[in-house]
Amino acid sequence: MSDRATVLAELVRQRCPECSSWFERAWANASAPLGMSFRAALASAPRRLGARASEPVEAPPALASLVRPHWTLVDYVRAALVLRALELLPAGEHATTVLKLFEAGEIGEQVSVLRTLGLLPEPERFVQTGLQACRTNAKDVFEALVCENPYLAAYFPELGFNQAVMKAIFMEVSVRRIEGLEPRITPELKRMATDYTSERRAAGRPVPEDASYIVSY
Amino acid sequence: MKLFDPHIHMTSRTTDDYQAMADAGIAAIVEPAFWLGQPRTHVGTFEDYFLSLLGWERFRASQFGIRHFCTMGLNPKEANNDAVADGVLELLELYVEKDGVVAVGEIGYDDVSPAEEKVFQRQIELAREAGLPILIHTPHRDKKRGTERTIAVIKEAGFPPELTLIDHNNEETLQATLDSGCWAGHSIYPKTKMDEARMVTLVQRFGSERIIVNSAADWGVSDPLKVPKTAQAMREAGIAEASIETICWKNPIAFFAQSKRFDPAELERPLDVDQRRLFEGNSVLRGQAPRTDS
Repeated sequence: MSDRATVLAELVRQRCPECSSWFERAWANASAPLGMSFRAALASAPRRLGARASEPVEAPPALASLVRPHWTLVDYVRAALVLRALELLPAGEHATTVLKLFEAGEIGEQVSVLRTLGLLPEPERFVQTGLQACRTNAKDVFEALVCENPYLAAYFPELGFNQAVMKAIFMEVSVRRIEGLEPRITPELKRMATDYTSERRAAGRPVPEDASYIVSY
Repeated sequence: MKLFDPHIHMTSRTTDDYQAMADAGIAAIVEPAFWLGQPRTHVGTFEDYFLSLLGWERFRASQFGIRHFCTMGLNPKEANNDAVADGVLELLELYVEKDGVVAVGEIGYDDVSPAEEKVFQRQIELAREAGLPILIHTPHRDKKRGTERTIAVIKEAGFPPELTLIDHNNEETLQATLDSGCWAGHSIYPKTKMDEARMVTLVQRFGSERIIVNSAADWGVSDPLKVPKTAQAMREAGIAEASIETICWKNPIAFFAQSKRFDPAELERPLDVDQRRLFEGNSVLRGQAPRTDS
């Protein structure tokens, strides 16, 4: 598992040699992940990477199944630093630390944390962060968790998963973008979508196609 | 006719809204304690928010002749935050005793999670001990099931339905809410939730007993004038003036007066406006001539 932090750090060093002194300082500060210096590093990553910030990144072969093509170099940098922090932190503090980093993040930081949640060791431990993310009203943040991300279907308990799907319908985020949706369409999820369809009809409002998709799957 | 908006989040509204509300005849409001659009991360953030409902916001309303009451509670979304929930519940034992508080709320479910249920049940007990009615938020997702579960929790707790206002009802939930003996609130929104025309239909079908309307205006797309607009829509549909007054003035007063925290007779008297007054050195004015009523 410590390999992941190293693999990502190598990638960052190769892709942004000019960032090295900043990155190495942040890497060193990973021993105090809730301290201001480390958190400031996470926050300032896009500006530090400059033009490279939004560059697409080719998946490192060792992590190919876990990463996604839409991740940017900023996401990789933040993931590398958080993975390094978890290496140095007692396991019992992992979940609360990631939750705090998420809650104290502005939108861009929250997006990075959510996209890369599945990279963290024993990812099922970070469901609270995912559930908290589902309370957002910021579409970018919600999409970061729910779209093109294996985390939702792989680790969310039934209630949270169903509510995330219903929220996608409410936020007009296409449910087709939810990885692993179909195997998790249960009678209960269909019941929720059916009740919602009935509610829309009673209100004389159109029924979203996504709701019908779930009902008739 | 004086009007009452018993569910409106004025912290997110400007003084233009207050002026428009006053001009439209709104004489009293209840601002429920809720979340701020994204999760709070410290117990202290809740405390400062509670204080602002009791202080600055009540003062702002008074500057426009509007009587401001509030509810105190840990809302369903943030009930899921284990790190703050106990601390906020402890604060609430104090804050429900403050002047201006007329109910425990908004409480209830958001996702219908176990954490939400526990916090909901604890706040029902809090209300019982404080002698306050409760204001219930029903979920926007899985609303019908969430409302059924809500009613079940209240029954299990043996909490009086006449002291319970179940809010955000729609066509699918209103029958069950009324059958339970609880009061039924409806939030009238421009594009989502309930609208004036559908509310008129519901009133024509169910009458005015225990029916309440509000704007639930907040930071999202919403309209602080929905109560007068709904009153007007009912008028145009031929609903009797007496029924409109029941829904938009007498019912919210009757419900919240059960708190015994205000005298209903007070609300029939206009609030004198003196905009020369300051709150902790702050004025609502920015260069305008102050309005004074006496």
